Amino acid sequence: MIRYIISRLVIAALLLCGLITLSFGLVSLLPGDPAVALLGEYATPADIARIHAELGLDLPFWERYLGYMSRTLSGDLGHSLFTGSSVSGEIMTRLPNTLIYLIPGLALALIIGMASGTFAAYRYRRFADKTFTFWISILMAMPEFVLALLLLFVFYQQLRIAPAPIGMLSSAQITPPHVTGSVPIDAIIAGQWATFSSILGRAVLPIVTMGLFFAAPFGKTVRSGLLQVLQSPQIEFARACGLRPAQVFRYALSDIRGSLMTYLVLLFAASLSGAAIVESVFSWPGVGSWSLDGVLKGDVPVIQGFVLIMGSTSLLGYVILDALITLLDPRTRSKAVAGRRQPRERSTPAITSANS
Amino acid sequence: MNKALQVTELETEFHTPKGVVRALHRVSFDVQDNEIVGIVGESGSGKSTVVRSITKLLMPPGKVSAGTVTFAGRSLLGLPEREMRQIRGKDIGFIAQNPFSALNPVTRIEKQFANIAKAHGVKVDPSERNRALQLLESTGVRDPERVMRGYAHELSGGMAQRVVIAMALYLNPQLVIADEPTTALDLTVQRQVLDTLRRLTVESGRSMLIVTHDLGVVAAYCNRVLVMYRGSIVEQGLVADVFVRPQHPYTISLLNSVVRPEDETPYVPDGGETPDAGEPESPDPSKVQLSEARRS
Repeated sequence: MIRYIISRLVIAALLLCGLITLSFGLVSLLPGDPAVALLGEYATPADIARIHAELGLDLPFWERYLGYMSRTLSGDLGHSLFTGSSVSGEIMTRLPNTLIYLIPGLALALIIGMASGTFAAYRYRRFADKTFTFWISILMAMPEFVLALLLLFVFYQQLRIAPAPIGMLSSAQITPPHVTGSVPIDAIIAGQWATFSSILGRAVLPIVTMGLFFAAPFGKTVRSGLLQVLQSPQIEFARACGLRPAQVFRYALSDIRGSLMTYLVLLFAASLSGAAIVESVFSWPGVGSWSLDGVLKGDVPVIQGFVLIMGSTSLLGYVILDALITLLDPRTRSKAVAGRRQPRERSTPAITSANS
Repeated sequence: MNKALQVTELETEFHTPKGVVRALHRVSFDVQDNEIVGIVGESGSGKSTVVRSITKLLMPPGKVSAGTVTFAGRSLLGLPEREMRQIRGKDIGFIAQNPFSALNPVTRIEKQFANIAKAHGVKVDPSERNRALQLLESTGVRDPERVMRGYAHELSGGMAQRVVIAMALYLNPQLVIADEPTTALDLTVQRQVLDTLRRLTVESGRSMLIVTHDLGVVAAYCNRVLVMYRGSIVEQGLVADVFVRPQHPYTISLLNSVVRPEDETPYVPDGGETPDAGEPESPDPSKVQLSEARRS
């Protein structure tokens, strides 16, 4: 068991190093000179050389790579070329703002997708299923910014029940005293519940956007997975034993839960990049809009920081997923706990006897 | 003798995009108390469809369009699903073909037994668990306590099928329906499992309907046999009569297809593949003439 977890962690660490290499390589291979981007077109060669020296760009490739690797591993992601603010500090401030709508959004997607996909599978080819398939196709054809604008049009402009898309706080709200730098967390620490609930109120439309946007593919996966498993001999036997519909559903769910969990983590990884678009629409001060800004300006440390934080969050998601799936399924659990030593022991005598 | 199950003029159709395919044509038979009835026929002849039509486990697009199924004095086809569910597992036990695809792979065996009890309103207590243990022991499961605590994948094929049998018999059903119960097993294990099944059904006052394509199983274990061909029962009667004096050409062909070691001439199939039931011009199965060449 401990062996298994350690082996997963080692793999995760190796993948993290690969990710850092990738984020370094991607930006180094990009065309364009950061010094030129910083100084503008009329920079003198002397100025460019000065900036190069300041950023360490005049050093040989390997030195730059190793330096980047060691700095990143120690948590220093560098400073923005334009604002000069620390990238890791910026991420620490902004990531909670993103997660505050992203995680409820995904939870909403999970609930809507689960319920509608199940309903459609149980009403296969009937009216409810056809309605579901119709709406899924429409939602899946719609980019998230269109969905966000539609929601804003209906709930803000027409019904006037949603707040304006001008960020997390209105100017009337008092900003909580600076403790961690993250506004929602500081609001909780300071006990400013009015501010915190106002943030949550403003997060409703981003949550609904994310929820609907990711409910469509998730619901589709639930429907097709359930359709397949409901036809399986396992479910037939469960029904033949007279199990209640709820019990049968639980059996069916246990069969597809691995693939559903995998899909959910995939959606989580996708939602991190989708966050950039949604945050731009709602002027939300999260990591998405910040990184989009960085990409458009060619702010190299910001881009690298974003790639790293998205990559390592997804990586963490996959490692947890992998361990969960292995440990939840008794078929793989026994092998993982035994450390895969058993089959090797069994095969060795077979080889020696074949040789003798 | 009482009739445990009576099926009359059963018709089942599959509604496909290409049109309606009739899978069963006027199937009529019965199963008496303390009797094993075998259904034989080749793949696609409708054996499994009969079983699923009776237990109402038929999946869409399949649909029973006519006929009656009477079990213990109740007409099953008109019953709502809620009442039918209570009959399944409690009054009619079902034994699946492949135990590994039938058992839940991620639920402990004891939990699966408990779920069956719970589904039928039986209180789950230690005495119920003991009953399941005894049942497992009587089906020939070695170390039932360990099996109860374990999962399906830890068992051999024969042991897993015994667990399935024990689950089917758990709530003491009067009728057991077995759909090719030994097809997925080794030849040596097949016989042990069938012996167990016979001991636990007819010898304990139950009846059994067993679907198989193995004529040897029918000859050794069944009292009566139904021969199915393309959705119809072409011949039925006592095993001794049907096997010694077959009447229908298909039965004769089926019996001739059994490989006997003493035979010198190899088997030549004469019917070819089962024709597509959807073809409108396919002839009435009761009038099928197979070549008489090998009738010797």
